[in-house]
Amino acid sequence: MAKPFVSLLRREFSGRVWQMWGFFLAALLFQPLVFWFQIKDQYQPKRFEEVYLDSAAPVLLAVFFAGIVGWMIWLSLRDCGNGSICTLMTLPGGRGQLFWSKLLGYTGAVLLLLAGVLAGILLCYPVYLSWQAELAQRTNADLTLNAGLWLALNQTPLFRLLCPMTFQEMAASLLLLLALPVWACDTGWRIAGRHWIRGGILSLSTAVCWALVFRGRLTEAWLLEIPSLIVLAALVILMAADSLWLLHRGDI
Amino acid sequence: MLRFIRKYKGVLSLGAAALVIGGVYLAAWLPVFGEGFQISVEKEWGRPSALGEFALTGSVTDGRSETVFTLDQTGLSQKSRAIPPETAEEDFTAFSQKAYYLPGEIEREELLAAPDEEEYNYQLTQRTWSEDTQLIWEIQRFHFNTQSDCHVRLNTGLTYPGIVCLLKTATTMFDPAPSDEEIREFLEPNDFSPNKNLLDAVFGESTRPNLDSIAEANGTFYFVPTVSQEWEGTRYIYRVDQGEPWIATAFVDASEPIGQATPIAEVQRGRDLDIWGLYATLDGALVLVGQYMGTPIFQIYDPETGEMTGEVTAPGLYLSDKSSFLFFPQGNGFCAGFADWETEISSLVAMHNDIAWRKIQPVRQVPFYLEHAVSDGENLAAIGSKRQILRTKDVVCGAVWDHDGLAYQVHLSTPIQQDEKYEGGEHRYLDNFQVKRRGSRD
Repeated sequence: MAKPFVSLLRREFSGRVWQMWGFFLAALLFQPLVFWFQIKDQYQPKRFEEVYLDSAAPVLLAVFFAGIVGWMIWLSLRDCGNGSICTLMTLPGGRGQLFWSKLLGYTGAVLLLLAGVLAGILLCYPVYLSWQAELAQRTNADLTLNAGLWLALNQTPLFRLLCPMTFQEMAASLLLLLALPVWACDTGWRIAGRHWIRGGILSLSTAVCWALVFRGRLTEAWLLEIPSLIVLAALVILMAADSLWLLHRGDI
Repeated sequence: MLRFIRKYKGVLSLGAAALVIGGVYLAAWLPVFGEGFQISVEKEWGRPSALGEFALTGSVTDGRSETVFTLDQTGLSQKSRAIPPETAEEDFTAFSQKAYYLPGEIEREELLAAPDEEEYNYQLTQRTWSEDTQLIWEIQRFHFNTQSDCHVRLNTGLTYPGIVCLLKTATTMFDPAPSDEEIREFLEPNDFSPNKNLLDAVFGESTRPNLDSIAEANGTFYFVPTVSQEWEGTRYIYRVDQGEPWIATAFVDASEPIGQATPIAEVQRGRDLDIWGLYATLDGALVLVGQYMGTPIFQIYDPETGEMTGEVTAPGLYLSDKSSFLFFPQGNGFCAGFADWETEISSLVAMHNDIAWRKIQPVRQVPFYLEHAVSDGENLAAIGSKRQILRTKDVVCGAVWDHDGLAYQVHLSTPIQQDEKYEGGEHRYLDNFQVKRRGSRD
């Protein structure tokens, strides 16, 4: 790998890794906390996934992912605001590497957040098991509906979106995940360059398409809507091409 | 160390993320966090090796996920999975049979027009005392795709010798009160309601289990009118040659034939036999189930030649109130039995065809509600459940009989007990019971 690219990657990812760990820890710790708040006053048997979905944990997930996208946009804007982008564009090896390094760095951040989210879900499960044991003791009968964590992950669309079970689902989830850094990078640079119309149309249409695919998968995690996935993939590629084009023109 | 971490913090972070994601998959998959609805062997009698090539399978499910268990001679194994949502419309097909009665020689007729509570409404009644009442038999196959509906109706040629009262009623508006001619004209369609004697003589007494009278063998439908000994005439098994779509024939008068059906076999023992139903084995033999001299009897017919290829009686096949009849076809034989939902006791018999049709073992009394049974020509295996008696537990029961009698019996149960007083309903249920045979097409 070319040295300037490694340096850029170090700047984009390693230099900000502690902030990313912040997202990881927040996702890891806040989920069991809100899950416990939800379950502590429950006296009716419920499935793990039902308790999780009833708790504030899904809202927290939305906040975390929105937060990380906002953070990525802010980083892109900051590069333009303090002029460091001009220096970075003069580095040897081409301007395109600036985009790729940002993309890899941001993708790493999203993966770290995903790891935190999954670990948080895993931490919720022992909380659920202890509540279940307590409930069984209190009612003197095991009325619980526990079919194990694996099946809970398997049969819940939200969990299946985060923890896909088939290759196709994994590809769809990765596309949704990868769309976030590309969108944040391009949107950040478009805002910095004040390209409201052209940038806005592309950003908005990608965001709408992303939301539609996300909603579809959240309703029926098993059914993949291939045409909308293809459209989203095309829009993501278009946004990446747009970012590269902006860098080459120096229009940021 | 700290320097190493500081230098490679990016790579280490990515590695940690990958490890966490992989770890979550592993932890979720490992049984440490539970693996579906566990089922275990509660009690066993006899030798598990008696299972031989049989495997007892079924599932515990809550409708969204299921644990499929298999018990064979090597032991109990289970596998859990999420049930994917139904994507295709179920290929729903249903069969029904109906009897119509045409008056033979009319002894007496009574016409009545009784004013209803509402003004100008009259309850019209036609009572016909008929001798030699004719039996019209109709079968229907409903399919969600109406193109494949099949509606056939024919006059069986069977007659009921005694005098019976047939009834037709309708409510309609008349002003002034209708004359006899008008009543007769209004009640013209032949849709008589039979009296109880006549109804019992066709569909059996209300305590008798309902059996199928339409069988599909090698893609062709066959049917038999399920009549008692009281009817006069020759009984036949019919082949459906051509059916009509129900929508075109729904309002055709009962005296009119619909579609085309050919008699392919004359039912042996004729009037001495109470006909209960008709089934088919997997290799296309037709099995007529009935009662002869108070004993259940199975007559096997070849649908090609119309000849009876075998006849086996099953004394001891326990027929009790509120029972259901179960028929499990196999390639060269079948198992059949009665199961009682309330007492959860069943009786079972297996027939096999090698040189000739024979009963492979005496009728077995089964101490559970029978769900499925299979024979291998020598031994017999059955699976069922005890859900009513042991309300607080889902119990699966299995049994294997060899020539000497009961060789193995097992009770499987889910460890989660359900509270009898809990009114939330069943959350888990047992499903898909089957006895499987290794290397068998059954």
